[in-house]
Amino acid sequence: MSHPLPEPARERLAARARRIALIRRRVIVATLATFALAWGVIAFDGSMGTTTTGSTLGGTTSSSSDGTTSSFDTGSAYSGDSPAPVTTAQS
Amino acid sequence: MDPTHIFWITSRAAGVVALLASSAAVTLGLLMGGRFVAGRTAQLRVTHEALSLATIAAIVVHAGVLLGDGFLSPSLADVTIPFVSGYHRVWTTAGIVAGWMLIVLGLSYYARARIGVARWRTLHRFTALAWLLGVLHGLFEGTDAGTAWFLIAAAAAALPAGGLLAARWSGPPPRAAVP
Repeated sequence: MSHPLPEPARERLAARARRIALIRRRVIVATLATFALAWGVIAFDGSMGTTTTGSTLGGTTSSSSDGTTSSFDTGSAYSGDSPAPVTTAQS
Repeated sequence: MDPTHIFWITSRAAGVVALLASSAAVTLGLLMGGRFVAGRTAQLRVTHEALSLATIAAIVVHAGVLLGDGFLSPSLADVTIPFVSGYHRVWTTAGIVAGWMLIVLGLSYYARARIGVARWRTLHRFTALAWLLGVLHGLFEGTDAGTAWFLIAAAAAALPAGGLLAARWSGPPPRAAVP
């Protein structure tokens, strides 16, 4: 049978739990804020990359709804280990 | 904005978060393991754990959301198994290996009693190697690696961790009382 903790010990444990919860909340908030900021910067920057590959992953240049051909890149530089790159305009 | 880009942007943003959160987690881990802080290790440990979990979540989003990208159209194998993807094969593989290592080593904390604390502590040191692989993946494959904002953010997060790691590797072994 367990004995109840004395009041000061209970308070210390409660204070510790509050501190831990606060730290976790701050990390979650900071992480979400960083994600939102990064998302915004990337979207605002507008760059989807500079080239597109012939794609070993099945990606192809696609036509958008307004009839223009568009595609976006999946990396900053062509690595050279897949079919010849096709330089395209930014979408 | 073209809605087809949402998955792509989300994956990139999650990759940035993974890089920053893992760098912060490694920095705190090295601070705790070294002789750089005193008295606040309990709070640092909680922060370190929370940042590690945030890193794991960001890695899962980084890879998982990519499956919805209509242009790259990677398969599950492409984003989870090393050397399967033909896209930037070396750096994609570095990222996949880093991701799996960070996930497995991070979650192993909750099984350390079963693993054995001493063995777990030895395993945990490989987290630094996984983090390094992740940084290389971001720098050499990341679409944003050429942008000033990314380089500044990555340097601010990664240089302290890199400095502490270099100090750890070149200095005396850490004290035993690491979490």
